[in-house]
Parts: sequence; structure tokens; C-alpha cells
Amino acid sequence: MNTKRQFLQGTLDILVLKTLSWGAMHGYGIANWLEGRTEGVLTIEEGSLYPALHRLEARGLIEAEWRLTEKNRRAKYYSLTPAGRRELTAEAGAWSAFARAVSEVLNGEEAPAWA
Amino acid sequence: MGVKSSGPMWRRYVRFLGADPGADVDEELRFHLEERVDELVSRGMSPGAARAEAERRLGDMGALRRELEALNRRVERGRHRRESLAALIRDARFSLRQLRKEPVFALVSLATLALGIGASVAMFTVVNGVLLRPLPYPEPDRLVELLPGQNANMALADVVGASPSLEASTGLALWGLTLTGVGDAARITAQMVDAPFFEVFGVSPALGRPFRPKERDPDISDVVILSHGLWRDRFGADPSILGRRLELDGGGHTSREVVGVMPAGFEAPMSQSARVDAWIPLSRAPRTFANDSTWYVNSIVARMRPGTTPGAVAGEVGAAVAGLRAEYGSLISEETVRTAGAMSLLESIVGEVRATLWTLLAAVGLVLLLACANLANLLLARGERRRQELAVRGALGAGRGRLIREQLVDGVVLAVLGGGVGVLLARALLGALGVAEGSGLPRASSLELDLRVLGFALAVSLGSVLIFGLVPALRAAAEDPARGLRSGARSLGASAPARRTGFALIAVEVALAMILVTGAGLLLTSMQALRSVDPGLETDNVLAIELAPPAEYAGARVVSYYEQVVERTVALPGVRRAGAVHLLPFTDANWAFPYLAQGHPPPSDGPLPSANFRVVTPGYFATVGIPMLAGRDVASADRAGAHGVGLINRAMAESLWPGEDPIGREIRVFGNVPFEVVGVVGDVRQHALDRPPAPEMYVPHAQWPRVTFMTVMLETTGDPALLAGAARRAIAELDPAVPVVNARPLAEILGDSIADRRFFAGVLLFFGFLALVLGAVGVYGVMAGATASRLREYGIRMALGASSAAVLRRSLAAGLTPLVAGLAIGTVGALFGSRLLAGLLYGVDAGDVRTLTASAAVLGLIATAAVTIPAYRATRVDPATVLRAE
Repeated sequence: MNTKRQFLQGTLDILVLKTLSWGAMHGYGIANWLEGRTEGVLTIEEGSLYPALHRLEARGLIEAEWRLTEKNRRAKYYSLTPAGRRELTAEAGAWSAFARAVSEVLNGEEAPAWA
Repeated sequence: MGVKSSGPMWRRYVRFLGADPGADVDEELRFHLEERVDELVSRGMSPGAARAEAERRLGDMGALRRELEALNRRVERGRHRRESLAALIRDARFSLRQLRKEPVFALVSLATLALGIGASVAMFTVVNGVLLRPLPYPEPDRLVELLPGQNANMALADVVGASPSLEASTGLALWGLTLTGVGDAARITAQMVDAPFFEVFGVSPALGRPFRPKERDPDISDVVILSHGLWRDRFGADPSILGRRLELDGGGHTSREVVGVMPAGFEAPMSQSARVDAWIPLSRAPRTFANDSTWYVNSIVARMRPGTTPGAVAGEVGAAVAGLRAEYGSLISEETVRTAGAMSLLESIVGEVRATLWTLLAAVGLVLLLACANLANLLLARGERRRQELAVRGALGAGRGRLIREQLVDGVVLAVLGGGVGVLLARALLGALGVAEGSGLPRASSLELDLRVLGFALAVSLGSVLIFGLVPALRAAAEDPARGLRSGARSLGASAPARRTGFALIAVEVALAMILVTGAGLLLTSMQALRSVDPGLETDNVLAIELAPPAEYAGARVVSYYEQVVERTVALPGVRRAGAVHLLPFTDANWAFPYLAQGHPPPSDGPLPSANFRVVTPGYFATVGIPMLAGRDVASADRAGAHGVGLINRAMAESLWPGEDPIGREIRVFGNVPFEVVGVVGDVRQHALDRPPAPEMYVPHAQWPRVTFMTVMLETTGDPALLAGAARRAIAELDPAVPVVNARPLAEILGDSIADRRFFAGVLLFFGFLALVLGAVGVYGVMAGATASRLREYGIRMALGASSAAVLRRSLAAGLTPLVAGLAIGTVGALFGSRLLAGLLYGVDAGDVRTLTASAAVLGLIATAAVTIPAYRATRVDPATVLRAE
């Protein structure tokens, strides 16, 4: 459970960073956008989104600011810091390499020697 | 659920006063829920169902809020720290800029602080290193020195070491060995120990094994454990050294097998600052107390069982010695039983210097107070200068808190800078005073500025600045701005309270300086008294060469060896006379033997009286200028087999045969080895200048040829140090197997014997000098400030017709009154303070009137000059210029 959560958490972090690379957004907006973008495959656990945001803030990867939405409501907007942008680049590269490797195995035709 | 019932609207404004993590989290989550509810309702859900669904998706709200709040608090704390650090750096930069704007103030206050702190830190380093630092052995509190009340031999050490409160006990003795066959012949110092030594000091050899109890047996005691240093330097840290036989002569064997190497950094205990290169077993055939001749055991150290106190051990040692007296009444006196005891090892090592070191630390405390008084005055004057600026800023709305914080930061900046320079100064001072080499203090060789010292430095610097610097500054900040502005507009000078504080400071500084200068004066006088003590022999132009022939030379061979050394060295150009003695004067080395004198019956109860015993060659007395008062010197005819002869000193002659002629009388050494007194020589202060001479016997080497180590004295026509090389060469040519332990001027040895006194006197003189400088600067500063601030007043007075003499009188009176008061207070303080020095004084009384007068005169003169110069300046004022100013 714990390892799964950690794995998911790391994934969530990078997804949040990517989302914010388009511009500042509040937590509700991030949740909605991610859910739409992954076509429901990844249901974003809303209960873990906010801790993730705050943790990223504590690490200085994103920063928060209170602003008004179009509907004139006060909301906490998050945006990437330069450190966050660097982290995103590095982590995205690692993730792609990881994903490629996993799918290579899963989709491969070549059988192992003992088969 | 928290979100619905979250706080009122005003809570969001709380944020402007400081972050409120709870409110922030509530608001963020509420926003999320409201958006979600809106969305669901717009898709057709009822508001109630929508809210339930929104909350379900967010999960356990209570846990989430707690998690988020904890995270936020961490973020906030980090931000807060960064911000306050940034503010502190800003303030520090600001106060550094202010300091640069007033370079004279900056320089004088930093120098004052650095001197005060440097001296204190240096002194504290000594106190810490010598008194406070624990002994470098495990559980050092359990180590005790056993004091048997008299010279000890192995039997006595065994008896007192068997006390039930002790876990292990060992006798210790220092012994010189001659190492040959590995490089140049060398004289090394070994420590003789019992097998439990390693248990007592909680150490085991890094290589090999400790000694075994049975290695006390002289047949198998030919083993040695090397120090790490000797192993590294002489044997290239050879790991296969175990089992090797070394030509190591002395202590009953001519060679020894290496059975171990001690760990690096192991400090030999009770080594009296000698470098211990090896350990060998204390050894002798089984004996009783009565016939055990190992009287060289110079200390007995034991490890107590946990929970025991030295007091309890002392009782047991006393009982053990009393038991021994019951058995050997003729060998152990009542006195011995009374003085037998035990004390903690640290106490026994540093006990003698403890009071002195604390006294010196107190003295340096006075120096620091003096520096602080100066600093207070400087800051006070600065406060006066900035009064108007602060008043303006206060009137313009700068909060009092803001102004006080600025002053605080100013103080911390000063403290850090002054403390830093002070620590560097302390290091330099310790080096310059030669504490490690020349102080004669125990444990002084490894002084270091450890964490405790640095903590002390920080505490002292912050304390000085905050207490003495900020009180005046706070007063200035607390002042009513309106008054400051008014007085600034048409200033008639510094405020009256500031001037009063200044004059009080003069009194304080003069009083402190008086105490220190008197102390320094007393020690200076006592050093002079000590230097003028006649040591009983001529130390100028004498070179002392310590030689250590192997034990196998004992007998006729060593007698003829020394005859040849004397012959050869006396032939060197620049040498007038030569002669040898077997113990170097002015050191702790001593032989004292019991004797029976003709006409004096042996005491019925207790041991025989004893007197110092020295073996000499013909010509020794003349060489070192000991006067021959009666009879003759030992002569070359006094050989083995001839009639036994000897000389005694005046003290012994007068105590044995007052008013009678001692020549021709007989003295029996040990009660059974007789010699005839053939001469009487002058007394010599063998141990130290401040101890009276003791009874002494001198016998010819040729009749006591078992003595092999002797010191050859050369009387030279010029500087004896210059002859050392030639003398060493001549001796090495004669027999290269004999190591020259040392060749140095006798005057130097005499100097070393009073090293601790010289060190204490030097330290206190330095403190006295600092006190004079700081006092003069302080008094001058106060006076200069006071007169400068009254220039305008003086200008007006002179414009109205006052003579310059009248103005001078006025301003002198203002400064001299506190000066005289300070001298009076200081004299009283000095009378009390000097009592602490009583133990260090020689030939001068703690309340010595001459020293007091001289100190007061010197201080008074300097302080008067410091008062007069600014006062005189005031009279040179051109009234027109002053009145036009502002």
C-alpha cells in the first residue's frame, strides 16, 4: 500500500507540475483538467491532490498566491517556480524513459531464453 | 465538518498580521467544495446530493485538514526564518555602515573589546586546559593518588594499594634508560609500572600485550612496552617489532624484549612533563617492607570501585599505614601515619596551581570590566552624538521597538567582531606568553581553544556588549523625543546625566586599574626579591652537561671516565674549571639518606634523621662557586679503599654541632656507612630559590662509584651556551657510547625552577599594563567627551571675561575629583585583592606600602595626564568660533 502510494505520489507530483507549466491554476482547476486530460483513466484522488500541492510548495517547486476567479471568488492559485520548471524537465525525461522501458517489455515479441 | 462551520469573514484579514495556516486551508478547501457543488448542480444534481458527493470525493476532511495545516506551518516557519534572517542581515549591514561612518569610534571600541576579550579568553583557555578538562583516561573521576605519607617503595605501594575500595592500583616511577644499537645512542625516559597499570588507566597496548603480574620477578622483567612516538620515530612503525630484543640499558637489565606498543596519543600519567618513551615493569626479588630498597616509587595511583570517594580511600590508606607501623615501628613514624591519605588524581596534579589560576582569572575579569567600562563610555558618547538623530527619527514615527532593535543589532555586531578579534588575540597571547613551554604549569602542553573556550568567548563578548553597551543606549532610546530635539537645537552640551555617568566611569576605571597595577607591582617586587636571593652557587658562566653512562660502567671505570671528561673539557679554550655532581641543582631530583651523627644517639622511636646526599668530584665546589667555609675539598687521594671522607653544608654543621668544630667528626650514612667530615661548604638552595636550604652531605665519587649519571659543570670565561657544541664533541670523542642528555647553562636551569612564578608574574604584569592603557584611554575619552560637549559653555564664559586659567581650573576639578575617589576606592580594593596573591609573594607583604604608593603614583600620573590634556585644550578655544558653530 505504502509503496503504491509513494509511486502514485511521485506520478501525481509530475502531473501537477506539467499541468502548471501551462500557467497558474487553483487546486480545483488542476483536478478537473487532469481528469479530463487522462480521459478518466487516472482518477485523481482529490484527497491526495492538496497534500501534493502543499508539499511541492514546501519544496519550493511551486508557489501560491490568492487571486479572484472569473466568478469573483477568492482562490489559491499555484504556479511553477524556476526550480519547479527544472524539476519538471528532469522528471519528465526520467518518466518517459521508464514508460518506454515498461512498454517495450509488455509489447515485445521476443521471448526469453527459457521459454 | 470544519469547512461548513469555518470561521467568520474577518479571519481572512488575520493573514495581514501574519499567516494563519488554519484559515488558509479552510478557505482553499471551501473554494474547492463550492466549485464542485456548483458544477454538479449545473449537471442536474440536487444541492444536498451535490454537497454529499463533493465531500465524498475529497475523502476524510478532518485528516486532510490536519495534514495540510501541518505542511503549511512548516512552509510558514521556513519563510519566517528566511525573512527574519534577511532582516537581521539588513540590520547588521546597516550597523556596519554606521561603524564605518565613525572609524575612530569603531577602532577604539573594537580594540578595547578585543583586548579585554582576548586576555580573558587566553586566561580561560589556561584554566580550562589545566583545571577543568577531565584527565584523558576513561572514567577519570575514579582515579586517585594514594599518599603513603612518606617515600614509597614497592612493598608500601602494595600495602596501600590493597585497600578494599580500590579496583586496581599501581606504583609509578620514572627511570632513565640508554638505548643503543638503533641510530645514535639515546637517553630515554621510561615509566616503571605494576601490571595493573593498564587496568587503572583504562588502556591496553595498541600492539602486543600489557605486563603480566609475574613480570615483577627480576629474572623475567626484561620486557618493555614502547610509546607510539618512539616506535614511529626510531623504528619506522615496524609492525614486526614484537619479540625484538633492544639494547636498552638500565633498571636492572642491559637488554629488553619488546612486548607491546602503546596507542598513539596516550598521555603518560604523573610524568612531570617529561616525555615518556617506554614502560617497564617495577621489579625486585620478593622482599618485606624492611629490606625492600625500591624507594624510587614516586607515586601510587589507583582506580576506585564505582561509588567510592577519595575520602573513604584515604581512611583505608591511613589504616593500612598504621597497621604497617605496628609491625615496623622503627621504620615508619607517627608523622607518616598522620599524613597518609588519598586525593583525586586531578586534584593531586593541579591542586597546587588551582588557587593561583582562579586568582589570575579573577584578575583578567577586572581587565574585562575595565574594557567594558570603556566600551560603556564610548557607546554613551555615541548615544549622545546620535541623540538628535534618534529624536528626529522617533518624531518621524520610527517605533521605539525599531530603535531598540537597531541598538541591539549594533551591540551584537560589535560583540561578534570584537569577540572574533579577541579569540585571535588570545591565540597569539598564549603563544607569546609561552604558556605551553615556559609556564611550568601541569597539563599546559596541550592547551587548545576547544568548544568550551569558544562558548566562553561568545558569552563574554555578548555579555559585555549587551550589559555595558546597551544600558546607555536603551536610556537614549527611551528618552522623550521632544526633549532630545529641544536640547539638540541649541545644545549647551551633553545632558547632565550623561556627564555624571561619565565621571562615575572615571572613578570605576581608576579603581579597577589601581587593583591590577598594585597586584602587578607586588609580583614584580617579589620577583626582584627572588632574583636577589643568593642561590648559594654561581650560576653565571657555568655550563651543565648531564651524562648518562651505561650501568655496566659502575665502579672504577665510571670514576676514571669522569676524571677523563673533566680533564678533556677543562682543556677546552674558554673553560676555567670543571667538576661533577650527581644531581642537578634547582630541579626536583633529590637523594636524601638517613644518617647517624657522632654524638647524636639514634631516636628511640621512629626512623633516623635524613639529609640530602650528593656525590661530587674534586673541583666541583670551586667550579660552581660554593664557598669552602672550613676544611678541605674532596681530593683525588680520596679513593676507594682509602679512609671514607665527606663534606657537609653549613646548615647541617650548625644543626649537628652548633658552635663546635665539625671537622674530624664521623657521620654514618644509613647508620652503617661511615665517613669523616673533612670540610664545610656554604648552603645551596638545591630545590628552588624560595625554599630554605636543607642539611646536606657531599661524598667523593671515587668512594661511591656505583653512581653513574653525573652532571659535569664547566666554568667558562664567556657565554657558556657557546661552549656546548665543543664540549659535546670532546665528550663524544672520549666515548661515543655515553649519551649526552643535555648541555645547557646553569642559569637557564635556575630560571626554569622559577618558571611558574615568572609566568604568573608575567601574566599579571601584562594585565597591569593593559589596565594602565585601558584606564588611560578611558579617562581620556570621558574627559575629552565632557570638555568637547562643554566647549560652547566655556566659549561663552570666556567671551564674558573668564580667564583661561579659571576655565582650566573648572574643567580639571570636574575630572580630578572622580580620579582621586577612584584611587581611594582602588587602594582599598587592592588591599583586599592582594591577599589572594599572598601565596605567590616572596619577600614582600601583600599590603606593602611602598608598592601601593608606587602604583598609586604611576596610575595617578598617567590618569592626571589623561584628564589634563583635554582640559587644557578647552582653554585654547576661540570663543568666536565656538559660538558661531551650529
